[in-house]
Amino acid sequence: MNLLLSENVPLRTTQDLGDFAEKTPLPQRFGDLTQTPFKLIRLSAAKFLAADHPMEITGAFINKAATLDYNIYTESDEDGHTWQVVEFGTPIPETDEASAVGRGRRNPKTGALIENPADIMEFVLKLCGRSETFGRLRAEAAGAGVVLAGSITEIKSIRVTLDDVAYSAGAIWTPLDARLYPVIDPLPPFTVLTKMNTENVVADLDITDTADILHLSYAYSDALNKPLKFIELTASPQLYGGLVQEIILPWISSPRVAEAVGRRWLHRLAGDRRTVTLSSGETSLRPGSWTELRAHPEWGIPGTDPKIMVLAVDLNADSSSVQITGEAVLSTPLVKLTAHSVALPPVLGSGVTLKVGAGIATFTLEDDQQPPQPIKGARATLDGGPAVTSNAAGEVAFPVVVSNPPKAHVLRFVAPGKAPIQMEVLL
Amino acid sequence: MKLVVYLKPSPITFTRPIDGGKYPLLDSVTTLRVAARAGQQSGLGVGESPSINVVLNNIDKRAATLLGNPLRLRAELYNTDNSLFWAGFISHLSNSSGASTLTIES
Repeated sequence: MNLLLSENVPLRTTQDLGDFAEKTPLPQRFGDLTQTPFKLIRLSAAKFLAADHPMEITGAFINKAATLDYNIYTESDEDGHTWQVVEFGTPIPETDEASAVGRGRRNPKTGALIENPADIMEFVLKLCGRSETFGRLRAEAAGAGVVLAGSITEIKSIRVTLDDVAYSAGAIWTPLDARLYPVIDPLPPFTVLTKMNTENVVADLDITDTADILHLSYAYSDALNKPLKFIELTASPQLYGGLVQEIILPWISSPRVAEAVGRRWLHRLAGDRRTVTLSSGETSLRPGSWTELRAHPEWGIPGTDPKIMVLAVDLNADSSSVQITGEAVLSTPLVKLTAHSVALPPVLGSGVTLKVGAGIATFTLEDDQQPPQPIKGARATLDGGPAVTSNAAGEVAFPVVVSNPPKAHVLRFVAPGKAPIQMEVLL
Repeated sequence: MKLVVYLKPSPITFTRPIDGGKYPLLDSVTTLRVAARAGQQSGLGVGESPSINVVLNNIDKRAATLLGNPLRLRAELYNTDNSLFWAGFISHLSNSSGASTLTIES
């Protein structure tokens, strides 16, 4: 099976399990999904599929409410496929939704979670009968602590599936190589480009992909169909009039990774970035190579010699040079974490969402009606401090000190006519 | 420059006429653009998969006869110094009386 990158990832479907009523792809899950509920696929009234492979299940939910009335086990077929089953103690009505949390695929040799972006991408390619490896990305991601968590639930092309993973990691890739990019301080080795091996150097400045503020949503839950967490990063100085860019990185689940990747993205978006084109006799250069243009007379911008990441190469077999397009970020702003918010796990019956900004944590309390209604008049405390009463929008606000990684705080509230609720909140 | 096509049961190598060899039918190779992909970040490359067209001389239908139906077979293009120039899978073959043009896609 030699699948092209433009062809679809061959996920199995429910039809492979003998259910011909509805053709639903069987998901592949990766990383720590203990905080981001995923949908279970119905196999019968009480039996649901979690993933098309064995995985650890740490919790299960019916209509977002936690339940302990379930068993987990794996099933296999004669072709060697094994899948993870969650079976509830009682039949689940067709109108109800079942979801779960847990940890995804593990390396069959080491038993470690597959969560390095290079490992996930290589796994996808292997699933497609291909054998590319991304050693440099694996090493860079491990060094930077970039781990991902997510699910492949849709049948999409191989390249789009890999794009999704690489994008969340802050990485670029070709079939030949993958690297973390953008990066704030590129490390050697650099291929040195001088007037002896390089000519036709042009640096362009373009409005595409510029912003001063980054709104990054992450921790995507496919059960809730939305990202559960958010951070705002702000650049200083602001070169582009305070322009905001919104991005969703669905494969990130950790606040630490979200901030680190977000900082790298914003350095690129908010920095003085030039698109550089040139011709070089260094014909071995490929996308993902770092170069340094050293004392080149055609470089028309004052300042230090630029470090250029090669993004595209035009190769002609009969030519002794290659045409290169790359990027150089000449100066980067200071980037600060200015806000973050967390949608709390949907296990409490009442919905509570949280936004933090300018040193104020604002909780919105909603009941479990459909659609949810704000809870007015609830008495809330944070860490045992003074009680605050929720307003007509269901909001209560407390002054807080934002930290990353977030620290645990205790929110207690009593809604009129309901039992008191206490929850741990990460701020 | 040479092109190796992994036909079954054994691969065959096409070379340029000037280089000799058993199958000196390699005529020309188009420019190949390899661009990094970066998901949805618009300023970074999001486009088609890299592919390259290789033209073989098809006089007397020789290339077409040798190739048959080579779809999905691996093909590797080597520089004159034997370093790998590009590798991928054959996704398209166009035969005319004078030329057989292979598209090699990653």
